[in-house]
Amino acid sequence: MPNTLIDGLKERISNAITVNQSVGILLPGNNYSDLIQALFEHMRSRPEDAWVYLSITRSYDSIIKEFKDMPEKKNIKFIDCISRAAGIPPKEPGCIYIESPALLEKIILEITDVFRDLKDDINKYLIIDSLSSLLIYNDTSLVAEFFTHLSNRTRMLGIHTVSLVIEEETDEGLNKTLYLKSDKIIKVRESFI
Amino acid sequence: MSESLKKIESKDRTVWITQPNETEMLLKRREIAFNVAKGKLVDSNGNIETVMQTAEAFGRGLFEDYLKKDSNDWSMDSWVKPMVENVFNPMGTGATFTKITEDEAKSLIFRCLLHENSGEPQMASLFTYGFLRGMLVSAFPDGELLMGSSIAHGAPMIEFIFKADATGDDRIERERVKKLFTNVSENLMKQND
Repeated sequence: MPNTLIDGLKERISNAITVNQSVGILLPGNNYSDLIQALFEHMRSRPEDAWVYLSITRSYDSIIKEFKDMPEKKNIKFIDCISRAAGIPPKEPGCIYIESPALLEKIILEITDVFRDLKDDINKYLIIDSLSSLLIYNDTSLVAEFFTHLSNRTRMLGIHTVSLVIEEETDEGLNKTLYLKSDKIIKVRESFI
Repeated sequence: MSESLKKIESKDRTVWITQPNETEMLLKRREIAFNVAKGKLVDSNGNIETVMQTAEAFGRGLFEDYLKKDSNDWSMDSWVKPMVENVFNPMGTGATFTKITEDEAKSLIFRCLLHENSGEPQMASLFTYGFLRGMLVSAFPDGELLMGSSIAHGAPMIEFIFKADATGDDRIERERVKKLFTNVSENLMKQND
């Protein structure tokens, strides 16, 4: 059953992000683990594309314990917004560590910097895990402003974005912005997969 | 106190983040208690109550050894800080406290080494609930620990609400959590067949 679920999610994500510039994924917390599996499988299957994985939910050391091959993937860069705030010493050169998840402008700058050096003909993708986790550390209006600013910037630079929002963590204000700035919204429901 | 909890402020939002710094002694002590709980589960033919009792006893022991000396008259905010400094941080637990008041604290655990290293997230969640509850009720005999989302059920973080005074509804939480993890015994018994 979990494999069917992950395969279904992978297919939906793959179809959506190829055609649309910005995809919002709204999911219940209990499907988070399956969705992340699907996203990582999708990234693995596209080594010719450039990926940036912005993590606000989990520390990078936790991520690579689960996805052990990630440090070897030269086309996938991580931006970890949580480790330095928690005093977890940065260990991996393949990851950019932001001082705090409240430094929203700095996050945008780092994302822009990573993509800046890439060739124009490469497909570029940004995964935000997750917008709703930013709400733990920031006011809704600031997260909405951040997302609007980031969406405008990524659109201008031709970067595809996949933004995760966990239903239990979000609020009306953030959902509104997500709907407004996304070309496609995927609502994850087990029964729809 | 040195910075065992780092404050993060953004506009009108304040949260506190733990500063995990693992110590071998406490990790070993937890590992032993965890394995004892697993052994008792097998010996009792899958009785979840034995896991809960073993974990709670471990939590009461931690309270005796690391917290009791600090006060006879606890409030939630005076309990959280030494608990984080003496237990969460040395166990490598990354958690964000979104609320700390006189009678309630709310935490989101985003990094739990027991989950990551044991490979048994269900058992790890049940055990973590049990030992945190043991520590909590040692200080607050009328208190209760509520569990929201759990990594073991696919969520990105484990949510705990620590209450100094439980309501009538809160008092059934221990039984609810046991029911939530009934498959722990099924899985473990299968492994031991």
